[in-house]
Amino acid sequence: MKVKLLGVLKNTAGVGQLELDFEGKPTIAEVLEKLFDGRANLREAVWDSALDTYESGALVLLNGVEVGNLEGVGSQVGPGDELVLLSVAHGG
Amino acid sequence: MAVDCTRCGAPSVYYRPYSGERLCSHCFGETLLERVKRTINKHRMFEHDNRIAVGVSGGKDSLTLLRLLHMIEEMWPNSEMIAVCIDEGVRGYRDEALKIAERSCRQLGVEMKIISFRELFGETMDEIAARDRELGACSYCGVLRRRALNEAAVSVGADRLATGHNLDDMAQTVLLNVLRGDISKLDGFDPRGRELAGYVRRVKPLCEVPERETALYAYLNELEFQSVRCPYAGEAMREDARRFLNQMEVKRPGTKFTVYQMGLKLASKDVAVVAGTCPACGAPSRGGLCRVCELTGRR
Repeated sequence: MKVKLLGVLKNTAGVGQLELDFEGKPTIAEVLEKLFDGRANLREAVWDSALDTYESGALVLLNGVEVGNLEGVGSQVGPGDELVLLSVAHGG
Repeated sequence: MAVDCTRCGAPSVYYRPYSGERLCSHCFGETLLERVKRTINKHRMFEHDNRIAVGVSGGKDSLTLLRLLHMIEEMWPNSEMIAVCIDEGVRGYRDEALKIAERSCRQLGVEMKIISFRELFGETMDEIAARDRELGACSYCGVLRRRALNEAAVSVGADRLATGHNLDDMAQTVLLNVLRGDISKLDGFDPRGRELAGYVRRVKPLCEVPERETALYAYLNELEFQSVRCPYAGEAMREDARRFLNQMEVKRPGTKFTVYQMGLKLASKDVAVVAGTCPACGAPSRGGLCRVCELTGRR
């Protein structure tokens, strides 16, 4: 599946777009875990560890739909899906 | 699978926690436009024939403001709009933002004027940040940028200055002033602005739009995003207030609106008023030198 990082997250991760491979249909939480692996700065920018959520500082969209409108990070994704991550807090 | 839009029945893209609405991309944009119009009317921000300077930084909030005001202003043929941009002189960060602002203005056919810290204060933000200083860089930048925006608005003959302050900014300001025990600084909080001699009335039409929604609006409308973070960002106390309010908003949707409403009530109490003018530059001040002259060492 394709993951796009917009705005300051692109610089934080050092990459704007990447492909991640999974077997079966992982949840968004599993996709994020794989994305954050080895990218501690990105995890810090997106994930609020105190509340265990992205909702306090980022937007996550699956195929153009904000995942709060789906089943949150429990939503399942498939091989052709596109996940977009966008930081809310910076670049006013 | 997304459920239907609460307003039109099309597939929704966004769930709005504080209202319970599910909205499609079109209705989401419409609700923001309606809210901004309502805010403008409620606070009587504009007259039908204003020349409006819009403070555009190149970030998502000011680009969203520019686009929404452009739509609203088209309905008022006697009004005019011009973008004013401040070049603080932050290498890398501001260069990128100004290019984004320029492209957005060109796309909308809005005239743009850039004014720099170097022109106004004789030094760039990078130079100020590099010298020995008592305060954080954001404290200097905030004060000087406010003055620069006013100078820019005056120079283009504007009678209103619209800025992209959103609901999050407003709620953070309230909380910061409460935490510092100084609610007298809320005298400039009113989103309708004030009439002060030498100052263009500054209004905040996005004051009831959460930052999360300006970001979503920018994404859904394919506005460009800055990729470079300001190297001086992270003023400790505002970041703390931001984090706290964001977390409270997740736990208790509507918290930011509540804090903002409290700020309006406190600001209406006339806790402090501008008392006089700065003896060095003539700008309004609480008595003695204004903050700009204090920070730049003008006497």
